[in-house]
Amino acid sequence: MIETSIDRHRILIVGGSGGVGKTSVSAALGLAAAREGHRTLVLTIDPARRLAAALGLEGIGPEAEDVTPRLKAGGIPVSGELHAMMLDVRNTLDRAVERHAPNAQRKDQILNNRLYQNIAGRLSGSQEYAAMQQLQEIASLAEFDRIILDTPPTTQAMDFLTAPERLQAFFDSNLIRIFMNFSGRAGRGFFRVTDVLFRTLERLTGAQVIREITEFFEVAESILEPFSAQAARARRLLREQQTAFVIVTGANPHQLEEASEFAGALDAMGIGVSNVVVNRWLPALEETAPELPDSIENSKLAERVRYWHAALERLAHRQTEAIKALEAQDGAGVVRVPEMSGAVDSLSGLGELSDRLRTTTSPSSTEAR
Amino acid sequence: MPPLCQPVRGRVNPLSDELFEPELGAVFDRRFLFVTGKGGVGKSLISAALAARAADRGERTLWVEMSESPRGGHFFTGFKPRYQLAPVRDSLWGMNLRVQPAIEEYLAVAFKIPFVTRLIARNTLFQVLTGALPGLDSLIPLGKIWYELGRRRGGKPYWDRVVLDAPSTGHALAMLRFPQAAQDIVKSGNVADRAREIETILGDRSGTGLVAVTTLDELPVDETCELLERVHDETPYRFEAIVCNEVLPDIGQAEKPRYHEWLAGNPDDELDDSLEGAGDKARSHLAWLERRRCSQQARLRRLSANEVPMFHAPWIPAADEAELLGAMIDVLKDQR
Repeated sequence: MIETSIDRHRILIVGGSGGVGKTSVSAALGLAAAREGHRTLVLTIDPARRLAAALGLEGIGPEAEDVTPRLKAGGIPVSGELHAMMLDVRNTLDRAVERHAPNAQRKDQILNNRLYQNIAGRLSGSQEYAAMQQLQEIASLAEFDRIILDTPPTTQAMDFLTAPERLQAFFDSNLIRIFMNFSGRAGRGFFRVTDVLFRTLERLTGAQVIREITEFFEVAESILEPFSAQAARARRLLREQQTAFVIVTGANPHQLEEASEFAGALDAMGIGVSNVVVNRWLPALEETAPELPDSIENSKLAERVRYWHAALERLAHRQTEAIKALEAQDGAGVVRVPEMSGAVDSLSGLGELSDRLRTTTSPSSTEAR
Repeated sequence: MPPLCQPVRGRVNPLSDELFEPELGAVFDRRFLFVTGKGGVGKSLISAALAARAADRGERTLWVEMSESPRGGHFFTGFKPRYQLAPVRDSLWGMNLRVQPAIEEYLAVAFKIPFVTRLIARNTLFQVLTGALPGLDSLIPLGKIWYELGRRRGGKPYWDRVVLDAPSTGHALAMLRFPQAAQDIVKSGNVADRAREIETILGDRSGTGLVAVTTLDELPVDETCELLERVHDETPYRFEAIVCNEVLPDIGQAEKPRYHEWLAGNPDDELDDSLEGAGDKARSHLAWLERRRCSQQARLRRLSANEVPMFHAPWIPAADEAELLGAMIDVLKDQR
């Protein structure tokens, strides 16, 4: 089922809430695409030590690194290529400033501004903005024919989509004009709204901070337009036919509910969802779950084994029910990845996860071996 | 089948046996609990259980979430988290401390000029200030906590206990660093005063307990170690306890060799019977559980190097959040 998505879309964006295994799934998707013969890039933003470890790297840098030879050495030959790259938020924003600044002086003024240095990479939405920008830069080149983007590790899946807009709202707001007026201090009068505002702010933070913000906006104004244009292009890229989301979720009912809401929200925004990957799903073994005793008889090993077998089965049933409900209501292809595969911290683990993504979803074929 | 438990590499902390004692340290002696952790590790669950446990003992308790999509309604049936305090159950109140209404309230109280309040709140001015002063967006919510901690009724504190489900690690670090950083940047003004007050609260080890929640997976353990190290290096504050969530059961216990042999495929009539015919697949589920437990144990040792008391919250095989919470409250009942 994943093969179909890889076949149809050039860009796959892997989204979902924190702690569900987005980074591992991104790497496995990249591997699957490389196995299909594509020249593939996995772009990640996580510290991603596990991804690096899985690929046999010390770490992943801001330059695309070809890991194909390592795959071959590790016994996972691919007909295409797999490259991995780590997003450097600060560096991406700096490059945007360099590109958009009208002249060298403006560029230096921005890059050296203390507020910019504090803001870059920290302001809510800047990680996501940088991820989108980098994605768009790479997509506009012909270098890779498949691109997998591992989204930033936010707790809420929706943050990734709203973040660039939040950042843009920040730059678009009347705020900047208010600060510009303030810096001129022309026509200051006691009853003017902006003056009331600034007296309040000065009481809050002291005058120094306000001066620095004002300076920042003075220099930032010159690059706002190209910045906004870029953000708008990035948003269009999300809606193009070549792009689709792969949502990764845990298998418990509330996680599946959240994933379903996320898929609905993407759909409403005109963004395609190709798959929902239910990660770490515990397959049930029997038709009905055994009764769970109230407490464990601590004395006998057999009692404990009986209890924990029953507990695992009951959990498995709850998860399976919830997944079935999702499958029934959701158009996007649901892919179940059983819990049994263990941690993805080696090439073989990654290969296994990629296999599991590629095999179809009928429960019988994905049950624990 | 690979060996179930790999030998543990690296130095084992000599204190580790003591630290492995599953205990919450002095957490329940602290009136204000600041609970943080990586996203997805069960931070909300643990903070809600701590709060509900305190309330069940009759303490007047406030549980505070700080989330765009609060979980309170999943944990407590019928409860709708909002900025306004609302009763959750006996002795327990809850709120969702969002930055925006906190700012509006703060400005209205501090400056008594609601018009400006609205103006500031409506546009994104506050984001600018936050950019200039990282952590400011947490300061004002903490100011609300400070206010609640200071409330009194009939000569006694209004709340016996306040439990904050704080933001996840990165944001929490900015929050904890802020009182210091703010005083370096902002010498005067209301923010500087407020920063000093917050610093007093966070620095009061007899009244405030910082709690880190983690699962024993690789990335959360890495992130927790980093958080503890950075809080230690960059702030004057110290963690009271690490709560390890989803700690898997030691099914083998004293009979581990027998259990492991059976998991590895050796027949054992009594244990085979206990599966009631579910057979090899059931055994492979249990073997998976045991393998994960072993890798958890290795990471426990890594965490113990932080020399902070560690509490083991067991893995609860439930999928429903209210059920999870109920079971977790039971677990905490044995703690003082």
